[in-house]
Amino acid sequence: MTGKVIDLIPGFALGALSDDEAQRVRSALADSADCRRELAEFQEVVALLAVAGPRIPPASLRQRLLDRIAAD
Amino acid sequence: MPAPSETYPTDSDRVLVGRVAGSDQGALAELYDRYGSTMYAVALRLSREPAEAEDIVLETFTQAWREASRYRSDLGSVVAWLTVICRSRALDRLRARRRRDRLGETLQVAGGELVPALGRRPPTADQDLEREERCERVTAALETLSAPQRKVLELAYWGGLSHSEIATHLGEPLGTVKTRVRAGMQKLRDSLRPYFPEHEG
Repeated sequence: MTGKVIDLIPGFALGALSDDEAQRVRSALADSADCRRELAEFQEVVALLAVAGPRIPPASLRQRLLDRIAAD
Repeated sequence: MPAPSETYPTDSDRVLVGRVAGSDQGALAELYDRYGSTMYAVALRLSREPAEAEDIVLETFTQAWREASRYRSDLGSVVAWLTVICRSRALDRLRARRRRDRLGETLQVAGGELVPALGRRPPTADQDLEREERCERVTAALETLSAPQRKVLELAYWGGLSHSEIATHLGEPLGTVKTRVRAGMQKLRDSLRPYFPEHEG
């Protein structure tokens, strides 16, 4: 089942898509100004979550810590 | 979820720090899972910069890793010990930032427009207020989502999970998860649009 590519953009902005889906979005971005505008907006949402969302560290921080102490 | 450590959840904090002192990386991971968010909040209150707060948390747990054998349970709880480390790493950075700012001002006076960006200025009261307002708006926007919508966004953004990982984690159909992510993000976009940069005065 393949939906409309524009519906994938919120998930793309969050980095939550599968590789195939992300590739579909990247192709669509090249051709469609609507898709680019849509992505720009959802990226603003993600940025606001980062600077002003709940004060929870991003998931990536845990791995950064574990990599760092493994190299310590 | 970033694989929670399986072996340690029943250990008390004190036992856990003992394992960390013995260079047990899994024990440090468990310590982070228990107190990483708390330390991040402490760091963010002092630093105000999410990226810098992350670095402060990294330094805090790295120092805990190196100095775990010095923890004395008779002198306080593990969370108090971590908080002391975290505050002191954050204050070091604030002091260094202030020194850079002063140096930047001195050089600006001496050299005209040569080095305008060397120091970072502390936020003004207006910027603080703006930031507080934005935080309130984002929190309010998140509260307008349904609980299942909020949950999938939390797992995607703060948990770093993909749609299919979220579906597995929640035991829900993939299509349902996708729909919730999309609907939740669209709702957030609608309520936060006035705060997108190009809309700001």
